[in-house]
Amino acid sequence: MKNKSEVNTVEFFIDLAKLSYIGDIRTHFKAEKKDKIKNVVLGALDSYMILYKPIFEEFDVIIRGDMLVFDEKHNDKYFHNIPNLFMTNLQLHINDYNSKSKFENQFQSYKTEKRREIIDNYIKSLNLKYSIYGVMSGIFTTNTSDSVFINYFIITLIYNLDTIFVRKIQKGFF
Amino acid sequence: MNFLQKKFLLEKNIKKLFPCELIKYCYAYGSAVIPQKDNKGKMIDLFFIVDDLEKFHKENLRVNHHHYSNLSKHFGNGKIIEVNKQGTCVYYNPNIKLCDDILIKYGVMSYSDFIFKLKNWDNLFVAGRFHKPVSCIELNTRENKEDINEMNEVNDLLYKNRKSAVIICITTFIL
Repeated sequence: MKNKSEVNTVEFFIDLAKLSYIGDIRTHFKAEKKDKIKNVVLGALDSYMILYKPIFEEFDVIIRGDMLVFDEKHNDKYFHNIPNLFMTNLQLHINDYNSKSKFENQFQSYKTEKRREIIDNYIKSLNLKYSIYGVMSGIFTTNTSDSVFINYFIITLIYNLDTIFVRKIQKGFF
Repeated sequence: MNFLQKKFLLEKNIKKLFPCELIKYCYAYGSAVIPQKDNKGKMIDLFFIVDDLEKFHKENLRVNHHHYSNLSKHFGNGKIIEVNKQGTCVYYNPNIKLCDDILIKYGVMSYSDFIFKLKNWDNLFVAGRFHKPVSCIELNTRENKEDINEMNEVNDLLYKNRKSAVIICITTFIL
């Protein structure tokens, strides 16, 4: 789905639904089923279309069969609508201390791959932090029988972190 | 059971079981409500948006004591609110039998946190759930103008939340 102004509707909604899953620790431990995101979208495609049609109309996105067509002459319109606070946090995340407008112009000038990398990393760090918190708070909120499941997460997490550190030590990172 | 039957049962039983006067908005989400391909979930996920966390948990602990985990019952209302205000700002009570046919998991969140998360995207736990189709369960009738205006504002925020997701996708993955 790179550098295209035309994209398959299902692919677009999968990318959209992925936003809240990128970096979520549960996806690493298979607690979330493998094709979950694809199944979420395919099972509710009509509901997605109803929900997003007014937004597509607002941004002059043309629905042609099962494709969405984005007119590149509206690039500025898209970029100027990125939520303010999201941009500010993104700027802080990558330690960019330029003025906000300079950062926005620079961001717009990046190639798709670079923008994708920046946003992916930022959202990953957000979701990872809060999914770990979710697992931890689950110990408090879940009853004993379910805690076995939660404990499985924590043990796997500790095991994985341990493995990562051992690998880093072996590679001489520390 | 089709979606409308499920929604009717949900509405009826939530009203019976919970202190609904303290719940501002109720949303059902997840595969049990919005079916996924090859997977119709059994447990219905609910979000209760409440005005006052303290009041809600106090009353809910009284009427639905068994919904809370042993740890949370041991530490009491103060600790529950403390956990509820941190991180994702959602406090879940899972595996609750609402009636013979319906098993639910409900997350409690304060109205102010809900609005903050939708507006600011400090994490996508809540905002991300509202990128997908959800179903609003009406527990209280909204007759006065203030309530109706507030509901319109919330719907507007939910629309903006989806719009932001579309823009992020377009600017990141397409252009």
